[in-house]
Amino acid sequence: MAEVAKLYNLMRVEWLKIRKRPRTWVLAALLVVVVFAMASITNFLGSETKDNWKEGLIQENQEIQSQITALEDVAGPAAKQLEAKMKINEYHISSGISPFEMDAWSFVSLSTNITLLVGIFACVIAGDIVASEFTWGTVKMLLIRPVSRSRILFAKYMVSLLFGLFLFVLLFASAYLIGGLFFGFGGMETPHMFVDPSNNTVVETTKGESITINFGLKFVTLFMAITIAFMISTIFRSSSLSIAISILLLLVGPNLMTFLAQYEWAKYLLFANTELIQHIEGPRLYEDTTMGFSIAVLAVYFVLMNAISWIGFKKRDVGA
Amino acid sequence: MTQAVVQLRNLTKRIGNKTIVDNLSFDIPAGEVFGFLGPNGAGKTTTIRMIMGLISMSQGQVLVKGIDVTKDFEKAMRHIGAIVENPEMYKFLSGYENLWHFAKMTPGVSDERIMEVVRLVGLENRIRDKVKTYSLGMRQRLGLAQALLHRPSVLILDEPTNGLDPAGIRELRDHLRMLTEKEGLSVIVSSHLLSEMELMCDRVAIIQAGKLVDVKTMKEMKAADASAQDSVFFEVEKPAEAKRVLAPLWPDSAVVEHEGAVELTIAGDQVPVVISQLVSAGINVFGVRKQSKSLEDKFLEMTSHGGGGQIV
Repeated sequence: MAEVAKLYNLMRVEWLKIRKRPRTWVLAALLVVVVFAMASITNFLGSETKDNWKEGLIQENQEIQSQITALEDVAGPAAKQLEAKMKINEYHISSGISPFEMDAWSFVSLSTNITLLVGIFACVIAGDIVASEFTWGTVKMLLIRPVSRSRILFAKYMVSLLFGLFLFVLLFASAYLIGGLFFGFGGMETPHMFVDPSNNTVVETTKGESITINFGLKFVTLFMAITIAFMISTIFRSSSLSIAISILLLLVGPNLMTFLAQYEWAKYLLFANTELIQHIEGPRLYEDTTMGFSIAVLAVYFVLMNAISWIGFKKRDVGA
Repeated sequence: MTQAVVQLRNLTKRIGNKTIVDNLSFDIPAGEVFGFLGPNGAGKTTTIRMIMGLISMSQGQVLVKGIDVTKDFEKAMRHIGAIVENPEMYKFLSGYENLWHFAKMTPGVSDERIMEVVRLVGLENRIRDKVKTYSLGMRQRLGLAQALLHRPSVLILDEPTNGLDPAGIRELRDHLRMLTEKEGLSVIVSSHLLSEMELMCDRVAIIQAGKLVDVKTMKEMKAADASAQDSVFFEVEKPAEAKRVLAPLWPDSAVVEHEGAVELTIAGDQVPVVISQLVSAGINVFGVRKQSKSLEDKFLEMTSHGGGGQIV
């Protein structure tokens, strides 16, 4: 019990330092603004294509086909993604279900595409949470308390994760509310289509089910992003450098993977496995990988990164 | 010597093949203001930071009230409050929030205690303001407040007067006196300025090139000072003639002729004798100037012998 009380107090202390800085609330507000902008654009585009959506999809598929033939690597992940999109479009056309029917839940489903933004914002906080103490010179004040360094580090990590969760929930809630105001509430049962990567066929589920799975798995992605940023934060003394590197990694990492996917060894890289949704809704970066494989790789990186943070922070001399 | 509150045992810090602190062993007695004295780069700060666990030790042991700092850090640190160089605070937080922050990291510090400490350092009017609006002196006082929150038995100050103006230094000194006298606190302070240490400390450890030169009480250092002979300058009309008169009378002291003055190295009680001699020889004396050998000079003498030399 005493342990829990100690940790709780340390987390309160860290949270104080986050909530008292204006940038925290600027980030949160920015996220809501982006969701609002996305709803406005969706609303504008949706009303244009509403009536003749079938012709639109047929035209889109023709464009996709020419894009695929223009690709160098016809079997690569980019081609696979385009093929899946084509398949889903065909399914919409043949089943007569419009993909442009918007409602609150469909919009929430669409908003999973901007969880990268949540990752970036969470990395601003996590990438700074240890490094800033060095930048401000407060680290010596912090480390002379009767609290071990491991405890301080753990509390900082927990608060970083909780802040990520907070942004994540904020995205979800604002997408539902703003989506509801624009397109009407409800829509849990709206059909949702994806291409199952194991047998390459189109599967139809509901938005409600898809959102649950998507958000759940996206949180794993966010969790790993925060862990990277946190590790970098313990390595560098400069908070701006630490934030910049974290965000750069987050942006470049996944994009680098589409290029590296031609190499077999690259499947063991962290960013080949951060998007677990690839194993459910496809497309997979590597055909021979499974959910279990990706989780195992992530677990190894998780342990490794936390070990680096912990050893680095524990051993570091706080000199002049 | 009273009971030791902090004990250093063979404390050593090596970085690469450089030894920064070399086998330091001494006790810091309770209830005193204890100074670490040494030139810049002597290893004072490294030693102090090793006591607080900010820097790891390569070898040796530090005991705070008998508790090994490495083995039971959390328990040992409950007895220590510290200001490391300038007290860096969270500038975007108020003074009170800063204290609350550090109070929450220590078991058993109540909100009443926070306000008690605020009153002790005289910050009650500004404690709700953000720290970025504070003057350096106020930040120093807030720094002192955070160090006292958990009623430590030892207060450690690492170069506390860096960046303080004379008034700030004086204020700090008065606070320290008050704390040792009223609250029975032991204080460890490091500085490279002897004049400050002279006013603050009861006892000093002189450190040179990472090694202990000596531990002396301020009384001992001053006693040695009183018996020393001073250089006395006599401003006279005709220095050459004065030298001729005085040289045979003080054969042990070299009489040095300067422009418009003669210099003798004599004890203080000899000064009137010299004057009457000069007057009776018909030499007008315009002034007498004593240039005492300060503690500063003594300290330089002690530390210029290289590692662990003899004490004057």
